[in-house]
Amino acid sequence: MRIYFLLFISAIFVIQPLGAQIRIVDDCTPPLRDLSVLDKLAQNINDIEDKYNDCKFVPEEDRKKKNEKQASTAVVLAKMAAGCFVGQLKGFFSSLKDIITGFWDLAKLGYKLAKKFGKKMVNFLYIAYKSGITTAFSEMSRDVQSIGKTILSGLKGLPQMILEAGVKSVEGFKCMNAAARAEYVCKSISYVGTDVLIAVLTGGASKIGWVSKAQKAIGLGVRAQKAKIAARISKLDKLNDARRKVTGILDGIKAKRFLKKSLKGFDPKKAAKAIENMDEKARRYKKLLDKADDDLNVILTQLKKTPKGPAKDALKRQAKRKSEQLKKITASMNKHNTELSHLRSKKLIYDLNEQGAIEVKRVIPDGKVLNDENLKVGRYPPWSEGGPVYEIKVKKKVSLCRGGEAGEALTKGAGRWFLPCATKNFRSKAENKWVNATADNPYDEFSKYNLREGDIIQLGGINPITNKIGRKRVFVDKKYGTVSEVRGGGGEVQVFRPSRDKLNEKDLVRTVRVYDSATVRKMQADAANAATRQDLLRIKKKAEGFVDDLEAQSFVKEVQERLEGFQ
Amino acid sequence: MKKLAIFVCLSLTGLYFIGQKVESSGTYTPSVKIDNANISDNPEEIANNIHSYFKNAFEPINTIPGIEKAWRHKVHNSVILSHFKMEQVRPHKLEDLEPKKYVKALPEVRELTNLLVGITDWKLVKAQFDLKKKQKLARFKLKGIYKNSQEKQILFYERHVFQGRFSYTWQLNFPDALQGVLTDKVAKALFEYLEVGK
Repeated sequence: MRIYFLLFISAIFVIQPLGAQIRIVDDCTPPLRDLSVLDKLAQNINDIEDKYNDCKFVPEEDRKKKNEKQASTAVVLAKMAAGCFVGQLKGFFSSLKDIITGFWDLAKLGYKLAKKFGKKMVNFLYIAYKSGITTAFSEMSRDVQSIGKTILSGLKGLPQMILEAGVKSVEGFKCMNAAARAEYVCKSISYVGTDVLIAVLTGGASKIGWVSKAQKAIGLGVRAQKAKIAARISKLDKLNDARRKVTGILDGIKAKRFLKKSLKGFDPKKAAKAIENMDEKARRYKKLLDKADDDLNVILTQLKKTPKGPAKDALKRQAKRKSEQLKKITASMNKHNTELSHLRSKKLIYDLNEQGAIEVKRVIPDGKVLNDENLKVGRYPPWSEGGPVYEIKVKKKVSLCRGGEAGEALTKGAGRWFLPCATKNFRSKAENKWVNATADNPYDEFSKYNLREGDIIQLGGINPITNKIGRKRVFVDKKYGTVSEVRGGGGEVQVFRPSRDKLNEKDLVRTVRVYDSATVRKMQADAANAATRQDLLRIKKKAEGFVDDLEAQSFVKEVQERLEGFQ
Repeated sequence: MKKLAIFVCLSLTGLYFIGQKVESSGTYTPSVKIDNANISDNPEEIANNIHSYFKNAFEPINTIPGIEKAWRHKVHNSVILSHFKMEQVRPHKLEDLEPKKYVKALPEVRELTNLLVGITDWKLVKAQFDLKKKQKLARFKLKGIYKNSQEKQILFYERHVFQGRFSYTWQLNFPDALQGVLTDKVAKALFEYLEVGK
């Protein structure tokens, strides 16, 4: 017996360092070394097991062997932590911002604060609330390990809570071996979801009715009680996979139908002509806007100089009329340019489709659903409203070219539109110069965006940009009495590489930035030709050596982004 | 049988030590040599040379979504400086802002996020408010303390700025044992320096 005990203790020693190397968030965070929390979790499981003792629903491979030591559950849980709790924690840290935002609604904080401090204060208090992430971040940066512990100690109550929620289906729990039990707990927690986890952690569990959610999420209805736990979990996995596949197929069918209908009778030549005319009209709108803007500025300058009196009042009336006119022009221009952007994206889809370069996977009828409130291209949500966004899969390598307002702006990664690179697509020689670059053309490397086979990208019309980009136009908002700025007009095509349903900054497709330093440009060219991840890592390491060079550091970030998306 | 068992025990114990080695070599810790000769701990000196102090003493660190930028003190690495930025659709109506109510509401407003990371006893010890009507800018200068999940007393300075559509928050956060180094004056100089570059 003593020998077995010795064996067991030795085994614990061996396995302990495995647990010790578990990382919570990413390579930058310290390892989680304390397994005591997991021991507590195992203890909860042991409590549960006494209540249910029906082995017939447990598959043979999940059944506990005779004389198996119950205490090893903690070790197994620790080993599984990499894929279970750590997965939860990773999700928790990376979605902290969303969690904080969600809590505001969950706790009805806005309503409570409005009642106590007045409606007008809520806007300011919301910002103060969200800025609380700085404190959370400081704590995490200082000691992610202790935060991990806090969270794990919240987790430890979950198995017991699931039991209390009337989940009778842990029948057979006693019969399960440690791995099966650990997997069950992990899967249960995963199904319950992060919001429940957070609610439990903060003592707000009752607020979101997590009990029914847990029951529903784990699928523990009356019929399910009689099903095998492991089989059920695996079935749920399969079901979700199948659902995803079916949804994908349906989306594909819908997209094909949409395209067929939408591109029926589509004449690319007519479309190109229409785009040209509409573009001309957009330029006229811009001129009108510029003129009205200049006029308003003149009036506003005069207004400042003019002393109080009838002359000033007249100028005020004039400014008001002019700002109204500006608003009207802006509204018409936005409408026009939105239509233009839709036509342009349709034409681009048509061109790419004709080349056999893409397959449309999904058509999102209204781009605004993808606009995350926090994502702003040119300080404005990217997709135009009321028009489709196409999600496409690239079938063969193709380059998109950027054109339009080229020159200086293009070298900074800005541009106006994307089209498949081909001479016939462009409207003027000047534009061709930029987008159909030769080996001698210095703009080649940053005026193209190369799509690789298998790439999934989203493509659609860009929203009119009403501030901070383009030439400044000022107009006075009648209702609020404030002076606002209008810049940019939309009308172009935007491309994103989506990583989730809502887009974020990382999904932005940018053409390559041009650096002043020749060394960095050389590294950039090498990176562009890098065929493997190792090549990129080597270049990144080299760039990291230039510690005092801001451009090099910026380039390191660029490589890092590429590494993250490297297949 | 006994011999075999003892052999297995010894092998496992040996493996344990091998495991230890694996851990130490597998967990990469960069050995960055910090040149702290140029980093002064004298608050007066720091405040007077804030630009070079910031450049020499702080290094940027990886952030999480929601945090604009963050830095860590190279020598006192529990000192964290972070920057949060938010943009509203409409400009802030500063006439709606009631500073006293704002400060009074803050403990309640921050309660949930504090709970999330195990913070207790969060309180403000100092709050100042500036309103620059010409620049349409409102600024809160806050100082406070809290206990973190390890029961350590943490001191923080925050600056909340509302201007136009934008709002900015800077936070300097460190254990109170360092308050001799990072004084009110240093925090003020740091925030003023960062605010210029916002």
